Amino acid sequence: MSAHQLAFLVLGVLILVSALMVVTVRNLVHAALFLILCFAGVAGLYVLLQAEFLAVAQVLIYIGAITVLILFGIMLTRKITGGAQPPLASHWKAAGAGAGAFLLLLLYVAMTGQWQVSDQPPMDSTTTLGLALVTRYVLPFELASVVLLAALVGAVLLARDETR
Amino acid sequence: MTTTWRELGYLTPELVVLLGAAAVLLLDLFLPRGRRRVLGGVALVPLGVALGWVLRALWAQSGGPSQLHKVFGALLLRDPYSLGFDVVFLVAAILGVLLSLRYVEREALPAGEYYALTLFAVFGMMMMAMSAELITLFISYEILSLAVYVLAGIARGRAVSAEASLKYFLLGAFASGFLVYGIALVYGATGTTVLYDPLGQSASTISGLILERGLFGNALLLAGLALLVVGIAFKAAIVPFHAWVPDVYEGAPLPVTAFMSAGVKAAAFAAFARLLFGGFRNLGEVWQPVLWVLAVLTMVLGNAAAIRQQNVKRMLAYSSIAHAGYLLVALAAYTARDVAIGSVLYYALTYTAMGVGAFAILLVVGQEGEANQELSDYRGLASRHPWAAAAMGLFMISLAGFPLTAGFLGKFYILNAALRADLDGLAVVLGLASVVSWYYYLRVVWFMYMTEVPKAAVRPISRATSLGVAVAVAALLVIALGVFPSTALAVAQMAGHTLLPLGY
Amino acid sequence: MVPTVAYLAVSAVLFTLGVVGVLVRRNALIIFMSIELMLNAVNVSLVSFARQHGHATGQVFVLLILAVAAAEVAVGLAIILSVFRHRDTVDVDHVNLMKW
Repeated sequence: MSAHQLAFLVLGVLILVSALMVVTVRNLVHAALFLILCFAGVAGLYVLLQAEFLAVAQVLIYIGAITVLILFGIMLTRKITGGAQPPLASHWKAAGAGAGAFLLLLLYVAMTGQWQVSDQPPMDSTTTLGLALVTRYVLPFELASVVLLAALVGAVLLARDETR
Repeated sequence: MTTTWRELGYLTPELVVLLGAAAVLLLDLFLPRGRRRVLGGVALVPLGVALGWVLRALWAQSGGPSQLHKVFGALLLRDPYSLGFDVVFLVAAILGVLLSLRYVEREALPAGEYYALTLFAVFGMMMMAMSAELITLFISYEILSLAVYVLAGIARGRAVSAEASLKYFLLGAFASGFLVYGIALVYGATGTTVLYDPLGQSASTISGLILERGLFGNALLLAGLALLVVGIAFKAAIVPFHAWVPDVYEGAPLPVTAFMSAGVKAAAFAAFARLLFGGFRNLGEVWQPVLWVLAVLTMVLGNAAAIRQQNVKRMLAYSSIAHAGYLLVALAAYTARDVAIGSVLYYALTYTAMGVGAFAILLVVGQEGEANQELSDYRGLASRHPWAAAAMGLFMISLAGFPLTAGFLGKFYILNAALRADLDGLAVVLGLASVVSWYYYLRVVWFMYMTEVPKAAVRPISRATSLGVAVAVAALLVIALGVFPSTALAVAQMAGHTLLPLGY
Repeated sequence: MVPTVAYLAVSAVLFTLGVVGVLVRRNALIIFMSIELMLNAVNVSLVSFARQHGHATGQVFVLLILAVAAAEVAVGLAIILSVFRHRDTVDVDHVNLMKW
C-alpha cells in the first residue's frame, strides 16, 4: 500500500465517521464540530485529487465561513448553548431502510463504470481552473455573483430585527 | 470563444430585468420611507420593456424562418422556445407585481427588497429557460430558488409565512442536493455538461455522446437522469415531491403564491422540457414510462386533495398540482415532438393567466389581505359585486376547461399531443381528472351565483385600481387565448420546433 | 493511485448519510448540516470525475457549488432565525411543519 492509498484510507474513514457523528450526535455544537472535521477530510481528498485550489477554497469557505455561520446560528437559537436534542423522528427505521437501498443502488452504479485509472500527466489544475472560469464558464461565474447578491439581500432582510 | 456585444444583445430582456433589480435596490436606499410605494411602479418598467422586446423578437420571426443563436459558446440558446417562456414569466411577474402594489403597502412589507427579489426570481427563470448546459441551469435554478425562499417568508410579522419559508427552504435545498448529484453523475458518464447542440455542429454533447458511445443502458447516466428528474420535479410540484406545496402556498403572502404557482412551475417545466427533449431524447423510451406514472399520480392526487378543501386559497394550491400533472402528460407525449412542446408552452401561458387571475380575485374579495378566503365568503358575490363574480366565474370555468376559454384549448392541445403519441390511457385519465375538477371549480361559481346572503353580512370588496387592472388583463388573456388561439398557438408550435435538434 | 471508484464509493456513502440526516433528524440546524454533507459528497464525485476525464469542468462546477452553498447558508440561517423569533424553537416538529 502506497502512502497515497494510505492517506486516502485515513481521510475516507475520517470523513465518514465524522459525517456519521454529525447525523447521530445529540449535541448541536458537537455536530457542528464534527462537520468541520468532515469538511477538513474532504479538503484532504481534494489534495489527493490534485485539486489544490479547491482544497484551499474548501477550507476558507466551508470551514472558515459556513461552519462559523452555523455555529452562530446555534448560539442565536438556543438559550443554553449545546443542550441535548430531542430523539429521532419516529419513522427513522423506514427512512434508514430507504436510504440503505438508495446507497446500494449508488454503489452498484459506481461499480459498473469503466474506470481505468487515468495515466494523464497531472495537470496544473489551478491554472486550468482559472482559465476555464474566465473563458468557457464565464457566464456561470458571473451568474454566481447574482446568486450571492440575491442571497445577501434576502438574508439581511430576514435576519434584521423588526424593531430596527 | 469570444463573446461579442452582438451576442450580449440577445440577452437584452434578461439584462434589463437584472438592471431593474439593481435599480430598485438603489432607489430603495434614497427614497424616504413614505415614498417607497413607487418602487412597485419602477419594477414594472423593466418587466414591460423586456416583454416588449421579447414580443417584438417573436413577431419578427413568426411566419419567417425562426432564429436560433448560441450565446456564450453553447451555454445559452436564444431561440423562440426561450422567448415563448419569457412571455410566460414576464406576464406572471407583471400580474404578480400588480397584485402586490396594495398588499405590500398594507402589510408594511419591505418594498425595495420585495420587488428586487421578484425581479431576481424572474431573471433566474429566464436564464433557466435559455440554459442548454447543466452548470448554467443549476446556477439559474438557485437564483430563482433563493429569491423565492425569501419571498415566501417576507411577511416576517406572520408566523405562518416564516414557517412556509423554512419548509420550502429545507425541502428545496434537499432537492437541489439531488439535482447537483444528478448533474455530477451525468457529467461522470459523459464527460460533458452541454445538453445538446440544436445546429448539429458539435457531437461532444450529452445527446450526441449517448448516440456515439451507445450509453443507452449506462447505469451511471440513468441514475444521474433519475436524480435530475427528482430535483426538477420538486420545483414543479409533481407528486410525490409535492409535500411542501399546500403549506407553502398557504403560508406565503398571497401575491407571492400567485407568482410562484404560475412562474416557478413554468420555469421548472421550461427546463424540464429542454432537458428531456434536448439532452436525453434518445433515452425517451426510458423516461416516458416514468413520466407516465408521475403524470397519473399528480393528476389523481392533486384533484383528490383539491376536492376536499373549503378554503379557496388551499383549493387553488392543490389544484395547481393537478395542472402540473396535465403539463406532464404533454411531456410524456414526446413522440408528438413539436406538438407536445407547443402544448406545454401554450398551457403554461394559459395557466398563468387563469391561475393568477383567480388569485387576484382572492385579493379583491379578501380586501387585499389574507382574510375571507373561505368558500362561504363567496356566498352571493354575484348580486353584490357582479363584475368580480363574473371574472372569478370566467377563471373558474377556464381552469375547469370549459369550451371557449383558454383552459379548454390548452387541455385540448395536450390531449391532441397525447393521442398523437398513442398515449390513449393517459388521455383518458386527463379527461376524467378534468371532470372531477369541475366539481370544485364550479362549486365556487355555485356559491357566487346560486346562494344568497343576508344584507347585514355583506362585506365590501377591494376597489384598488391595480387589482382591477390585473383582473382585467388576466380575463382578457383568458378570453383572447380561448377565442383567437391561432397566433399564440402558431408561435408555440414554432417554439416547439426549434427546441428540437436538426433532423429529429 | 487510488481508483475513481473508491472516491465514488466514499461520495455515495457520504451523500446517503446526509440524506438520512435530513430524513430522521428534527432540528432545522442539523437538517441543514446534513444538506451540506450531501453537497460535499457531490463535490468529491465531481473532482474525481474531473481527474478521470482530465479537464476542468468538474472543478469549475465545484467552485460554483461552493459559492451557492455559501449563499444557501446565509439565507437558510436567516430563515431559521426568523422562525425562531416566532416560535422559540427550531425543531421542525414543534414548528408544526414537516409532514414528510
